[in-house]
Amino acid sequence: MKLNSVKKTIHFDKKKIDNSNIEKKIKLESTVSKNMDYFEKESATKKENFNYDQSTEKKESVSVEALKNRNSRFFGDLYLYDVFDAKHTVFDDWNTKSEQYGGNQRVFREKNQILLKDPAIRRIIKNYYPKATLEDMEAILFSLCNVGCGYTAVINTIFAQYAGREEEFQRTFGFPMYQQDRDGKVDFNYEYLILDLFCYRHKKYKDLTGKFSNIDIIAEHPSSYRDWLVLNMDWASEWFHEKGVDATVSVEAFFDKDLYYDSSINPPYYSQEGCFVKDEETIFKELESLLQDSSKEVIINVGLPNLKGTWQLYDYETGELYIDTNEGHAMSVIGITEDKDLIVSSWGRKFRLHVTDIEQYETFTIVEYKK
Amino acid sequence: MIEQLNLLPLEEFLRKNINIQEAEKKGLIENGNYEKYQLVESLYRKVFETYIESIFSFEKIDQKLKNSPLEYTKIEEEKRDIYQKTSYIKSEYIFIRNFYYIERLNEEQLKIFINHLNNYTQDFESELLEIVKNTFKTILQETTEDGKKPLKVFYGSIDPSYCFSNGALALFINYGRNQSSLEEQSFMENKIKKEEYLDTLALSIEKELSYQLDLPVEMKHYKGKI
Repeated sequence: MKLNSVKKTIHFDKKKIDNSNIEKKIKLESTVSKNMDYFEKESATKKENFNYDQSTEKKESVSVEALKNRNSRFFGDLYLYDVFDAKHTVFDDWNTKSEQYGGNQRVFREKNQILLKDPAIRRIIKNYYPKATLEDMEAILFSLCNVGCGYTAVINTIFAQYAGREEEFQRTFGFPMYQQDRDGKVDFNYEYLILDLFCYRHKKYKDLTGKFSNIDIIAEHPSSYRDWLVLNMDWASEWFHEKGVDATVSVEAFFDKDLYYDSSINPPYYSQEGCFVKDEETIFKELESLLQDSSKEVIINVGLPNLKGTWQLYDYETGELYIDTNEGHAMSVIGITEDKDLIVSSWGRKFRLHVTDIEQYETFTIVEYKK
Repeated sequence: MIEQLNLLPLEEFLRKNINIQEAEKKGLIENGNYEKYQLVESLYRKVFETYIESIFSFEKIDQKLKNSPLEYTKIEEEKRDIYQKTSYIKSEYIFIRNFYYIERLNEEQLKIFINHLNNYTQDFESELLEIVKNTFKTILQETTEDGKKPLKVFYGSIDPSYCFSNGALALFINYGRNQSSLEEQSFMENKIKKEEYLDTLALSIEKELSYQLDLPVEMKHYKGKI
């Protein structure tokens, strides 16, 4: 599919926020929100190396000028911290080097040992699967690494929306939005919410085979990513509601929904006939409009099982072709470049995705936050 | 010969970036029929994996894992990846995950493979092996439809843990869940030891095979279904 050239060139980063509140100090309240059940002061943290000793604080230069006052200290296991330069967000170039340009589900495998020791991680799983053994929990985390792209992308939207509202984030979700290591690097706490959303989805809703997912099914990596292509994200909206966040999740498909998915055929067939209901230029304009709306966050879902048609990711910094694949995947859409590529976040990294690679059966997931 | 070959399912070939034009020109795909391609690909894989086994003993690795007090459970047959199911490597735990783009063989080389399919004798084996030794580096390289070579390749689903360097020999060690209910400390200790042991094992396999093949070799260890 090739888009017609668009006269107006766009290059924007919708994540920039008002700088008027930079350098404000935030004191974490001891108020425990309804979501605080998982996080107790006595709990071990998930990061083992945060033994920041103020008395030996070094004046280190950091790669970006985000941090003004590094005065973090422990408060039990919660950090009192100064809010860093509020113009930096999760999708800031400042985070790309630490592979924190959005969440990265790879941590569920690579930091598996650390996460399994975290009581908060265990409590989240036990909340949905009370009889889960450690072996089971390990299987859930591994599975999340495998199919977690869509969940990660949804959670990215939360972090994007709450930038500059760290205290509110803390009160809403019950844990700090981020913590700082001894080098001053900010480490966003994506994992708890990604895991919670994943467990919620599998426990509360039936999969495409009509079953609730027990841990054995999860360990076999159900094709839950296909859910992102099925035009029903009500379960995600309900999760937000349960968390006390006024947000809805919907799927914008550019084709006739009735022709899209036929689950009676094995393997399920995704019809391509008569797919487009909107022309290419309209799609592109709608995407621009979505990205310019600060209350909306956009996720793109690419790739489809059983059909050929690859998509490619290019490293944003170097321009090198990173991968070429036809596997299903979901990524946060951050902006549009001047030459009409999408800027996307995947695996905590920044990439370019050619808009022309978006095939006629791909979709956008929209998360709308009502303030 | 044909009945001794383990064919990958057709859908796997449909997903790959096979150069259809080239394959049709060489008679590997005929009117949308991939049968010949499947057979030749499987034969190529058989010769290559047999060669790898001749230079590295996976049976010894299997014995170590089977006899280990750390309990590496074999993954059940029905839960195995299709590449593990169709592997020619005699191992319950290890398999190669690469795909072989045999349309890149020249006409003469292909003729020898096809003749061998129809009329197998051991005399052909050394001839096939010679072809494989001279071509495998090109054959297992992934390319895009327009001929570009991406840096990374995902084998299996788009799990960042399955990300290999393009052009490397991609190996997996896979084992199953124990269904145990060990106490926490025992579980974590056992887990750490298991993973550390596999890291060490993977490093030694990568080093040895890479030296023998003069090719990057990457091994990922995985637990569960890929």
